[in-house]
Amino acid sequence: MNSSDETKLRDDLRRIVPTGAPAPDLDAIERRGRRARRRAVALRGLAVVGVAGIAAAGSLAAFRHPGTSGAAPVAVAPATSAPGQQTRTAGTTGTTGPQLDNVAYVRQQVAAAHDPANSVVEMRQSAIDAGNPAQTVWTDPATLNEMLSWVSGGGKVVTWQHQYLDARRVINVDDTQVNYGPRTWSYRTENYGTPISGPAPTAPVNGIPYIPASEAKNMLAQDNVKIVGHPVVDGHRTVELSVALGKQGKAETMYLYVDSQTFQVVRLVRVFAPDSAHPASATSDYTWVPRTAALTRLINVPQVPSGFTQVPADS
Amino acid sequence: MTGRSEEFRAFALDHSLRLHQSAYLLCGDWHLAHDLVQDTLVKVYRHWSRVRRADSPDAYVRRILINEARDQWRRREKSVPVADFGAGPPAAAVPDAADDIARRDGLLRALVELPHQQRATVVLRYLEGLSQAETAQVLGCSEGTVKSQSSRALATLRKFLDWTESRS
Repeated sequence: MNSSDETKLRDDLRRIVPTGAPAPDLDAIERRGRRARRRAVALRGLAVVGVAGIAAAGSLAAFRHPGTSGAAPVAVAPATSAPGQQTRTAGTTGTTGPQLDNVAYVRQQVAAAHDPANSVVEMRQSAIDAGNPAQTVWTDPATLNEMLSWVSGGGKVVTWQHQYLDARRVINVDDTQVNYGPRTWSYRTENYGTPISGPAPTAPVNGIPYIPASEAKNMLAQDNVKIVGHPVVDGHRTVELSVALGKQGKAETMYLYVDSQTFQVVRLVRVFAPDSAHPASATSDYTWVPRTAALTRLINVPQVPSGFTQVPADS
Repeated sequence: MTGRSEEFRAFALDHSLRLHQSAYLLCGDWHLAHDLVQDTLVKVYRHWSRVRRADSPDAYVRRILINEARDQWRRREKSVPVADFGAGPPAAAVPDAADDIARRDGLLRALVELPHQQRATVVLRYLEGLSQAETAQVLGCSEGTVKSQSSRALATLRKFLDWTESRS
C-alpha cells in the first residue's frame, strides 16, 4: 500500500472513531477489581490447602492400607432429582442451618435476591417433558423485556417481546420475530383487552408455562408453601420448595429450587394435573448473568439482520 | 480515597477516550467497546502497581485491551450471534454527507471482518500511530510479523478503499 492510501486510511479511522466517550464507572471498576483480587488470593489459598489436603489424605490412606494407591471412594450427589424426592449429599446433612427450613426466611431471601434493581439478567432453558426441544429465554428483570430463541422446522427463531401499559392501562406486548430458516421477520402487538386496576405486572404476562423467576417468586407468597428438602441441583446446594396451585381440573404443583447461598432460582418444575396417571411437566433451568450493556441491548432491542423480508405475523 | 486509587482514577480518565476509540475499531460495536474498556480498566486496577512500574504504561494497557478484545471475540464466536454491527457510536457533532457515512460504515465492517491480529495491527499502526517496533512490543511479536500482518490487512482494505473511490 502506498503512503497516500495509508494516509487516507489513517484519516478514515480517525473519522470513524467517536470523538467523545462516556466516563468510565470508576467505582464499579474498583469494586470489580478488588473482588477479582480477593478471588485470586482465595483461589491461590484454596489451591495450597487442596494440594496439602490431597497429600495428607494420600499419606494417611497409604499408611492405613499399605500397598494400595491411597484412592478413597467419594460420595457424589446426583446432578438432578425428581421433584419432591430429597437428595442429600454425604456430609452436608445438618449443615444447612435452621433458617433454611423456615419458609418465611427463605421467602424473604428469595424476594431480595430477585429485586429488579439487582444487576443481573436471567437466562432460562425450558422444555415440556423430557425429549422435547428446549426454548431459551433471556429476561431483563429491570424492563421485563424478553428474548426467546428456539429451533423450528430446521431453522432458528428469535423473538423479542416488549410489555407495557398503554394510556388506558391495558397490557400490550410488542412481538418482533425473526425466522432464520426462510430469512423473514414479522411484527405484531398483542393487546390484552381489559384495563388493569392494580399495580403494573411484575413479570411478563405470557410466560406460561415457562415462567420467569420473578413470577415464581410471586407464587411463593401463597400460604401453602412447604420446604421439601435440600437437594443438590446442577451443582448448587438448594432449598426445594413446593406449592400447590389451581383447583381441581386445573391443579398444578410447582417445585422451586433456590440456591441456599444466593437464594436465586436454579430450577422450576411445574407438574400439571399431579394426581393424574401421567402428569405433564415443564422444567426450567435458570442461569444468572451480570447485566452488561451489550447483553441488555441484545435483550431489549430487536435485531433484524439485513436482507430479511418482512411478512405478516401469524395470528 | 487512597493515593493508589487517585492515581488510577486520573490515569483511567486520561486514557478513557483513546481506549474507547481503539476498542470501537477492535470490536465494531459501541456497546461492546464500552464493556471492553470497563473490563480492561478492571485489569489495570488489579495490576496497578505493575502498570505504573512498567517502562511504558500505555503499551501495557494497550496489550491488556488487545487481549481482552481477542477473548471477547472468542466468546462471541461461541455464542449465538443474533446482534449485528448496526449500533454505532453516538452521533458525531459535525454532520456528515450520506456517502461519507456509507464509506465509514463499509470500512468499519471491513475492519471487523479482519482476523484479530490484523485488526489489532491496523488499530495500533494507523489509529494509535505506533511505529512497527512499538506495535511489535504491544503485540508480543516480531517486527517482521507486524509488517506482514499490516500488509495483509491493508491489501484487504485496499479493495474497500478502491471501491469507495470509484463511487465518489
